[in-house]
This record gives sequence, C-alpha cells and structure tokens, in this order.
Amino acid sequence: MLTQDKCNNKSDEELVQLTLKSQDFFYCLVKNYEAKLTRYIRRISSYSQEDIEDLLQEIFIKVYKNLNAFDDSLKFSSWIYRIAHNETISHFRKQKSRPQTVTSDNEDDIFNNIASDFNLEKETDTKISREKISQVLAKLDIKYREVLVLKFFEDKSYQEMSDILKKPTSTIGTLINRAKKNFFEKLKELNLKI
Amino acid sequence: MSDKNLTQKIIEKIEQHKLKPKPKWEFILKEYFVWALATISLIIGSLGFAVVIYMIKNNDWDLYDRVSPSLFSFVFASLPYFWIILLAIFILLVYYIFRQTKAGYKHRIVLIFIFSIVLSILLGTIFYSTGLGAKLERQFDERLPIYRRLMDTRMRMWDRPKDSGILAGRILNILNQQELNLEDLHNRHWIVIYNQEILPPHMTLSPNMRIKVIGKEIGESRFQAIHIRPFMGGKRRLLQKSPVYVK
Repeated sequence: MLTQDKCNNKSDEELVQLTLKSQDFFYCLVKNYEAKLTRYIRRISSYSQEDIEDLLQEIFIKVYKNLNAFDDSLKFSSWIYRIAHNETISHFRKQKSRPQTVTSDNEDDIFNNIASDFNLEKETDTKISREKISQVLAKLDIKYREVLVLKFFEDKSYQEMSDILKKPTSTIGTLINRAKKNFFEKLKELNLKI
Repeated sequence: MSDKNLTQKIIEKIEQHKLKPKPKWEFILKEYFVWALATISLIIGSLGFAVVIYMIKNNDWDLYDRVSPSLFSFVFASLPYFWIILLAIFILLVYYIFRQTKAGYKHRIVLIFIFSIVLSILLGTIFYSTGLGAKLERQFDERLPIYRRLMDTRMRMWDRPKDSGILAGRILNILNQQELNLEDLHNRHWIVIYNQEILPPHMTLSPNMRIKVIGKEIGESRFQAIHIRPFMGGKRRLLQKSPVYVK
C-alpha cells in the first residue's frame, strides 16, 4: 500500500489516471474523500457509524469499478459526491428511515450561516438554537434537506450541486428557495414562534 | 471509526475479489446506445407527426358541415388521436432517454420538451413531404386489423347516407359502368348509381377499394352518387395501391 507522501500534491483527476494504471493509488482517493463523505452521509441520513462505514465501502468499490466512467468535464469531487448521494438515497429509501436530527461536529459556523442566510433572527425576532435548526433540517423532505446540506454544510456551488444531484442549475435554485420555505413551515410546526 | 481500517478494508476487498475498473468502451457503448435509442424514438415520433399532417390535410374539410354541427365538433371528432397519442408517447420517450445521456440533466425540462417537439415537427414535416406519412398510414391500414377497426370507428361519422348524403365503405364489386355494390361502415349493402364523369382524375374504381360517395338515397339500399372520392387521401393516395378491406 502507498504512503500518504505519494498522494500529496496530486489532483484528484491525476489520481484517477494513476489509479487506472496502478490500483495502489486508489488509496489516495479513499483517503482524500473518506472523512468528507462520512460527514456528508451522516448529514443527510443520520446513519450509525457502522452503517456509514458499510455504505462507504460500497461507495468506494462502486467508484473504483466505474473509474473509467468519470467524465473529466466534471470535478472529481462532484462525481464522487454524486455516487455517494445516489447510494445513500437508495439505501435510505430501502430503510424508509428518517433522521431525528442532522448531526454535526463543531460546526457552529455553519449553523450561524444558515441562521444568517435565512434571516432567522430577523424573521423570528429570537435566536434560534443550533439544535432547533438541526431538528428542522431533519424534518425536511430529503430533496430539500440534501440541497441545504450541500449548500451550507458542504459549501458546494450551484454548478457542483447540479452535477451531484443531476438536476439543472435553475432547478437547484428553485429547490433551495422551496427548501427555505419548507424550513420556515417546519419551524412553525415545531412551535418555534416566528 | 478508524480511517486506516476503512481504507484497508476497501483496498483488501478490491484485492480479494480481484476487482478491476470496468473498461472505458463499456461506458462509451452505453452512451452510444442511449443516443441511438433517443434518435430512434425521435424518428418514430416524427413519423407519427407525418401521419398526423397527412390525416389532417386529407380530412375532407369541405364536407364538414354535412356531418357535424360545427367546425369545432368536426375537428374534435376527426382528429387522428391514435397518431397524436403515439407522437406524445415518443416525445416523452425522447425526453426520458435524453435525460439518461451524460449531459442530459444539465438542461431544463421545458427546453428538452420544446426541443424534442420542434425536432419532431421538423422531421415529421420532411417525412410528410416525401410521402412517408401516407405510406405508413396505408401500411397500418393494410396490416393491422386493430388499427383498421379503430380508423373505421373514427370514419363512421362519414357514413350517414340519410341525413348527410354521404356514404362511406368499400366496393364489393362493380356491376357495370354505372352501378356498383358497396358495403358501408355499418355493414349495410348498397347499390350506388354513378357515372365516370363524377370520378376525380386518376381515380379508377375497383373491388375492395374504400370510397366516400356524396349524393342522396333514392330508394331501398340505392344511392345516387354526385361525387365519389377516395376514403381518405388525395391524389397521392389514388396513385397508390388501394387499401384492402378485410373482414
């Protein structure tokens, strides 16, 4: 197996080409995305650590087998997030489970961004706690939750979100607006007076 | 979770199962296949549109007031729904298949729909102008009994000898230069009295040919024709083999 040194200073796209020549370089791609995808899956699904690990194995195996399908007109990160997204949603639908909260670690800034972007404090005239935002996100329909997670937690651009979710950028804009609307409705349902 | 463990597990699984990336040609072939399907669907939809033009154009508009209380109800009753539904199905298929192409998701749904409709109209118009619409309709009429029954149901509005003075059906036999036996779309038998002058140019009557006769009922199962025209279609249809009406 390679060491981390061999992975440094190489772009994802270079690593894909190297992996196609030598399987060993796949280690670098796994290393680069393991933590990111773990967080992403947890945010949209709230699966247990064990489930996430199983799912990640399936995702990386799928990525490896389909490396030749990677279209270099996309960012590699968009492509791997797309696979992770599809696998998670497929798994998620099979289980028909709904997360109770959107979990996160040390991400106060992100929740502050949501509160600020949504004008929560102005709209609600009160400070909305991070836990409440988590609860509301968890109550959202998956199609709304995933765009909010990609925008606020994963910091993806509209173009990247379009490539990940395989939807036109205009639809992404519409989804985000609807997601915000739904967010406020769920907030009301939770009796968090606006 | 130990990151090292997960990475190791994945690499071990790849090695253990001797996994390899699928070859590039598989993905290229799949993309070509999807595009080929989209193209075929587009062509079939366009052929459907060519038949729609053909049928609308040869709808005997000059006679609509004989069989229908208004132009609107005539249009409603005589639209070629079979072909319009076929066209709609294939436009939907083009949209669905196009969305499966690599870059299909990047385009707005409305734009893909408009694009496939416009392309179907353009191609369909070209097909119509080459006579493909008429040929295809004739092939369906000759080879598909279900289609023929559907069309007969649609055309029955033309078979109203008493109140509209129009008789529609197929020639059973030509008795002489002035009389022929005809079975109408309601399976009634008629003797049609005519003369050669009332036939359009290029039209030669023959057994099994389907025709419309304009005139009036002059007695029990007797009909005086003042004009005879092909069941459907203009000059182009007359120059082609007439459809055979098989019971």
